[in-house]
Amino acid sequence: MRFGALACVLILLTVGGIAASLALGSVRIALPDVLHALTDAEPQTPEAKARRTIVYDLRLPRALLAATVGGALAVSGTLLQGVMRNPLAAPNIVGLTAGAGLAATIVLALRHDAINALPPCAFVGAIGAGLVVYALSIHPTQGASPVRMVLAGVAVTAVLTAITTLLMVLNPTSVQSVVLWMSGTLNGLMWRELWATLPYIVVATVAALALARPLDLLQLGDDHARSLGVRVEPVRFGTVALAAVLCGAAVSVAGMIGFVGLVVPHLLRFIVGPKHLTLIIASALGGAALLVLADLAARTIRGDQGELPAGILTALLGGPYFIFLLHRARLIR
Amino acid sequence: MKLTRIATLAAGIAAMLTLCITPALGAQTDSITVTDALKRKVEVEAPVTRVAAFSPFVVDAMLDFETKPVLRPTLPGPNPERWSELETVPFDHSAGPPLESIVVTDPQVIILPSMYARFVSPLERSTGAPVLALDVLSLEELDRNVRTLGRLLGRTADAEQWITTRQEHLETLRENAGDTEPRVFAMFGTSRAFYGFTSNSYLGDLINKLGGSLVEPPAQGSRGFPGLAQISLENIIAADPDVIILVRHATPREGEEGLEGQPAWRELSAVKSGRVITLPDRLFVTCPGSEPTAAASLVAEALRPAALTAADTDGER
Repeated sequence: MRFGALACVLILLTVGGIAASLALGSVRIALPDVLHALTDAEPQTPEAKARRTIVYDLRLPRALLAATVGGALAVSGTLLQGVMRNPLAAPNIVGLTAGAGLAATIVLALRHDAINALPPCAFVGAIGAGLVVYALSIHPTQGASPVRMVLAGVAVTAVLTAITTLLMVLNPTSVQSVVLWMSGTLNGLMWRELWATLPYIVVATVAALALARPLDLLQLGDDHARSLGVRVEPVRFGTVALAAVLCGAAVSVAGMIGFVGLVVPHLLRFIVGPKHLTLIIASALGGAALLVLADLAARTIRGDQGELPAGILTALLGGPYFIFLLHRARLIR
Repeated sequence: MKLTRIATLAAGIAAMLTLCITPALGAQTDSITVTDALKRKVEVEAPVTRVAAFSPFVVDAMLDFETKPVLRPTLPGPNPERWSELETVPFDHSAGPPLESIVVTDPQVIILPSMYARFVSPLERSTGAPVLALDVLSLEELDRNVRTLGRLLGRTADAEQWITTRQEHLETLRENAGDTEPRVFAMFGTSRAFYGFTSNSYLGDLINKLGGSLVEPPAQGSRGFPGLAQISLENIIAADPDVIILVRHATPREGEEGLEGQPAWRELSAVKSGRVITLPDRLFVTCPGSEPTAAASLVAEALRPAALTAADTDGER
């Protein structure tokens, strides 16, 4: 019942955010014209054509992509927190986004105008980093352990971030493009990017739902999980791989949008409880709502003075929440 | 019945007129293919009237042709007075182009510097207009690009006149130059990070064409900014040029305080003889910035203060 109510609220927030994203932007369009632009596929006047382009080709795919990317990042964080049994695990903390960032920086350092190569390379970078973290966390006799995965993730993040910074220092002319990508922005994303990422995210999210039960059992500890029939290593590997695919698909188009994968599952765990089936669904909806609203704010907060990268806003929200978590755990007193 | 006949007759005349006029109209449009700074072959249906210009020299040239771009860039610092009536949008690297604001201007072509390569695809896909990346790394390239602009606008005569005027102005500046050939180090940056202009840059070429001798930075220009190479204060000390030209990407106070605080800087010949000249970045950085003719006058004055006196009358186009 509690989950049902929460899901309704999150769906309403997401749909409301998408509707507001269609209506608001740097160009003011009256509500009837917004509706007309959505329904009239072949506008006749230049003004109507411009409105159609803005509403249907710019705002709508961008809002849908915000929902998709936000949901993917949140589910990725949920999976990582579950498999590592650590509520502070998230794509940007265990090296996935750092892998994507390094791949993007290499591309831009080699060729600053190779923009089309960014998404696939970032995607491969995130998955590669996930595999490296997993490989480093495997013990010869005990397999991968959650603690080692977190530590390996932190170490891999540090190394990849250092290499990324080194490349930026050596290639200062690529800094501006890299910084924009790292800030995380949905500006300029249209239908092509949505269709390119949606299949990965939908398939990986459905697969994540299939892993919900084994993940629940993993929370009891590896031995208990094994005794209950869970094949711990394949489940652990599959979960990390799915998290990497989700994160890679998201950041490959939107750049490094941080804290969604940390904050959303953490917050929703308090409300819906630790069961992963409900948590994954709630996180997908919560991540979608958060990024849709963050992107709407990023687009409109400065009025006609331009927009902010959405990743900065999510970090501004996520950072204080992180501090709140620490405070709650009495760690900063 | 009579009305029907009149209507039929009118329709027939209209159809004949349409058939006669259409080829004529077709002859007036021309598909121009331009290889841009990103090595892309860009096809533009000319003549165009609605140009979104994010390269400053394009705005200036269009105003000189007595046409107006539908959009202009916003340069750091004070922008040219005559730009004030033109529409502008916030377009920089911080968050990319404001696509909605650009779409509503319905541009037929978008012209920008190649440093905005990242934004070419979303601009083309959202506006449906071709995007031309035009850089200017030499005076010849400036002329070539203005000639291209003239073809795009159907203003080839204006473009040729513009080029002739610029070349004559440069010739006058050159004639007023003395026999000495000062060694010039041209720098761009803040007080802590510097780039040297190479001869493969608009400013470097201008210095060499106006009788100076550009001291090449030891490093090569980078791919993203081919006319600029990273340098250190050591490189400037080793070169000890006669003239130092500074183009700062910072507030003037910040730049001066940062450099003057260095003891080694004060020992440079150019500093001792008072030949460190600061030029406004809006004239030189966006390859070239606005007002190319005024920029040439300023460089000539920097090389030899007397050179400007005979040529400054048409320095501000």
